[in-house]
Amino acid sequence: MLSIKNLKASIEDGTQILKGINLEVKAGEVHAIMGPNGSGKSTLSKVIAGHPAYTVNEGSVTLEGRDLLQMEINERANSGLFISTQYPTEIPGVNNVEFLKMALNSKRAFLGQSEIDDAEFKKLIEEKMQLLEMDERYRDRGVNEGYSGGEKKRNEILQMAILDPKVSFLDETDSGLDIDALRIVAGGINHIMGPDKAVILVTHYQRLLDYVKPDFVHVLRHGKIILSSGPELALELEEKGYDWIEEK
Amino acid sequence: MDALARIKQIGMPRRNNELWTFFPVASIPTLEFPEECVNTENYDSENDFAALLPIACNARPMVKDIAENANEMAMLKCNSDFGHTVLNIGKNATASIEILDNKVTHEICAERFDIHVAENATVHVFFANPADPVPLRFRHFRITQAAGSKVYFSEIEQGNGTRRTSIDAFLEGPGAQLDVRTLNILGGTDSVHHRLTIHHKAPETRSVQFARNLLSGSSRASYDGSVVVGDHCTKAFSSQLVNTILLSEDSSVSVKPVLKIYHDDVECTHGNTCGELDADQLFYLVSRGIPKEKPWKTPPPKSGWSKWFPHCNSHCKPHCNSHHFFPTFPVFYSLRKPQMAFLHIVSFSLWGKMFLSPYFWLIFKKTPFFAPIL
Repeated sequence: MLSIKNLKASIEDGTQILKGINLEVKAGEVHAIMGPNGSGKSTLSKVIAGHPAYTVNEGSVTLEGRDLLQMEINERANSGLFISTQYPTEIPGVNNVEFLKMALNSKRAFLGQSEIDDAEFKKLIEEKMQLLEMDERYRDRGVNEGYSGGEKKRNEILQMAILDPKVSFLDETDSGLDIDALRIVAGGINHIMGPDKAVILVTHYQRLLDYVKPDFVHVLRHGKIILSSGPELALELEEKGYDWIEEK
Repeated sequence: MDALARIKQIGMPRRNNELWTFFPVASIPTLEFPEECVNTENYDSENDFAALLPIACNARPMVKDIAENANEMAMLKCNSDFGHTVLNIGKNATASIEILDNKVTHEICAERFDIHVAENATVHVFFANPADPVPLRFRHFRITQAAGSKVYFSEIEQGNGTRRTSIDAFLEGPGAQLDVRTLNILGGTDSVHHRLTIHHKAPETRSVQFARNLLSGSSRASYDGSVVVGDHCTKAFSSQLVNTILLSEDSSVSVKPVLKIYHDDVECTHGNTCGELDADQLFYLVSRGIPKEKPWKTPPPKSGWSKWFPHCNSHCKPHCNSHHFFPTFPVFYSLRKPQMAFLHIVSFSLWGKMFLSPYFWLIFKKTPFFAPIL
């Protein structure tokens, strides 16, 4: 479904952050990427999304066989890629619900579908907000405006639920979440996940993985995936840290 | 001296004329003036070429009187290159005046409006350029206000040529109030210029100028706003705020505030900000699939009217909503810089819908860029 091959990327001053990432994600799989701070996890998500601050030096990223790197940012999203950033951006003045509707209609237009009916959208958003136990305040506020860290993450999952992407790349979605919020957000991810979808979780802690069970766990360090294994690896990392991998 | 003689005296606009400093005077075509001026009124004190031009070119005057205590709406439309409208608003009257676009103009369109507002009358004047291409348009307003009168002037410019709006306002009676709000959404080679002079000539008079510019392409806007607060104008209040977002490297804005204050006990402010859209916000929006050149559709009107026009009466509101001859016009801005390669989009289904749009007024209310006015 998502195939990343030898992906190398650098920032404006030429510093290479990603030094050859290889990752194969199949439909129905949940992958977890762990790694110490500064290892390139967030950069990976931004490079895949097409953030202009990064230059791809080498490699390829394909989604269902289509070259993502050749697509515009919005085309990547509309093709089924969803990136949740570690620090969701606040956009005051842009109503959250209107923004969601606009994004959904953009995707529908990209797919050659008609705009969603108002009543249908209302029903959809009510359903998803209920799933994530979000109250009415989210409707009237600007996108992520004045949200707490946990509220922002919940709002990201709401967007994911509305846009129904094929591949979701969730960068530290569990950070800033209290125990209840973590359960709710994880429940949302599990609800959205299906046999024809895939999720990549970036996390520092096992706790999210208690709720969203990964099929594979990867360790990213110094811009490369240095170890891949099953879900037991997350427990081992929680216990031992990262240094033992390199020593090994 | 009549208008024609006065024009001959002051000559064609030049950049070294302070009233035309920012205006691309080369865009003014060669004009053929009549041999004599039908209107023999004395225009010795008029210095603005645009104010004189319609009269000098023998524009047929249209006089509209609104009686005392009346409550009326009017739509004004000029059907020739030059227009002259005189509005006399009676005491305690309320009037909503909508100025329609001139669709028969050729190279240049020049209109003049003389608005006399009697005691305690309230006038709403509004117009929007619905994007019909007119190479050059001048609109001049001369507003005189008696005690307790209120004038709310609102304008949207969407470009498609070169526009200049000039206002000379005289707040002659105590408590007179003038509120001027303009929004310029320009792209390409559009050029919009405002020149205002507001004379506070009585105590407790109040004027508010509030301009917003969203400029892309190589568009240009200028705002030359003067406030003159005369002697004995105790407790006069004046504010001027111009905020601009430059959406491209080639767009530009020029702002010139002028305050002439001849009394101590007054409050006068002016401000000007200029910025660009935040690259992270743009990336976030695009990363959710919104294409670079797709306009943002605004939702149906809800409750924004009172936010934007807190003073607007119930008479005006349905009037605005009822006019849909203005097309819904999407506005987008393409940016040159890769990191800002998003378009900010605003869609208005004009006046009523636009100002009533929650998205619209939320932007104006909540973003740092627009917040100061609310």
